[in-house]
Amino acid sequence: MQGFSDGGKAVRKKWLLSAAVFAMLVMALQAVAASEPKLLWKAEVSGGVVAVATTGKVAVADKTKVKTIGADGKQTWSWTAADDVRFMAYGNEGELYVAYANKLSRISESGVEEWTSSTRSVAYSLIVLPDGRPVLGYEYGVLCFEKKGGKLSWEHYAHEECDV
Amino acid sequence: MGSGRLLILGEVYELGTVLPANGLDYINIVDTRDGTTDKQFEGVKPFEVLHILLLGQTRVVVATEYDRMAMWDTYIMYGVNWGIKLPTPKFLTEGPGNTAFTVEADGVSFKAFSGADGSLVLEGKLKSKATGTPAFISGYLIVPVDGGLEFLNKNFEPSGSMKLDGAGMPSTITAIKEGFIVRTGSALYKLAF
Repeated sequence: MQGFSDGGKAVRKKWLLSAAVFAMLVMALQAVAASEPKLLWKAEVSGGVVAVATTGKVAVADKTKVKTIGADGKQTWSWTAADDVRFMAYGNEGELYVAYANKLSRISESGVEEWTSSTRSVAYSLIVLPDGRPVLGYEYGVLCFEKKGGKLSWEHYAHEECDV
Repeated sequence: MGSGRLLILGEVYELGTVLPANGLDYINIVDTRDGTTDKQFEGVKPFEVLHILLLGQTRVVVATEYDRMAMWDTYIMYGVNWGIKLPTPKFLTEGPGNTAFTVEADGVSFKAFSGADGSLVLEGKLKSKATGTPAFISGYLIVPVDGGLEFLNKNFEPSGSMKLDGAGMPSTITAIKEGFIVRTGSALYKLAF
């Protein structure tokens, strides 16, 4: 009977220990779930056009001047457009597309202008498709460009006179 | 809007007369292979669309003038899947549980509507007035408010707030892989969970 009794205490101790470990785990998980985000960096910027890449890189345009900030919050390169920048968007290779006047430029991840194409009018919007092709809304519809060379891939003419 | 489909939005003007428009009146789904029209949204015409929200891969929720909100599954050609009467919200965004989350004109009152049928899931009030469109990231609804951020959990309950030094009125929150970027008039903030 003594042995049996000792065994019961041992089982209870194991249960208590397991319960304590479980409670600590739950508390830890709750702490993680309830954790608020932490500020990694802050950058003072001027200019109204901003593009954010999913990788955390940011481009900011102040009139014609484009500055980029790396994922670590430090400025990487700058580039100057021929006219005031209207829209910017990052592609999936780290490249930046910049729309200004009636032009669209592709700037490489390292800040080199790779091509510039005509957009017929000023841009009204700019996005990059998942396959990397930039799509730009202009006065009469939508223009899609090849990512290499900037040749027109297709155009969508709106059914009525539209700003898209 | 699903593989190979692009949502485009536009404003229609009278030829030769570019008048200020209230909102969007041209919503198309375009095939990204060649730019041809796949579907055209006619369900809320002639009302102009003041807010638009992409809900999941195929659904679009719009808030229009004359107090209407509607959902369109972009694979159907005509009509809307549901429509409700709702005063034009100040902000419209995705909420937890596949909901359309609206902040009302006062900037404080909010409602969450089921994306499936438009029924009211929940309503409540923020602690502070929203200054930009909230974003649902990593299980939190992150609301830009004067001087910082307010957080709601998956049950739309307040779960904290955060001051951002010199933030003023944060306006935009953009999700990134490791957190999000907050934009104000004069600064960018990178935050991570």
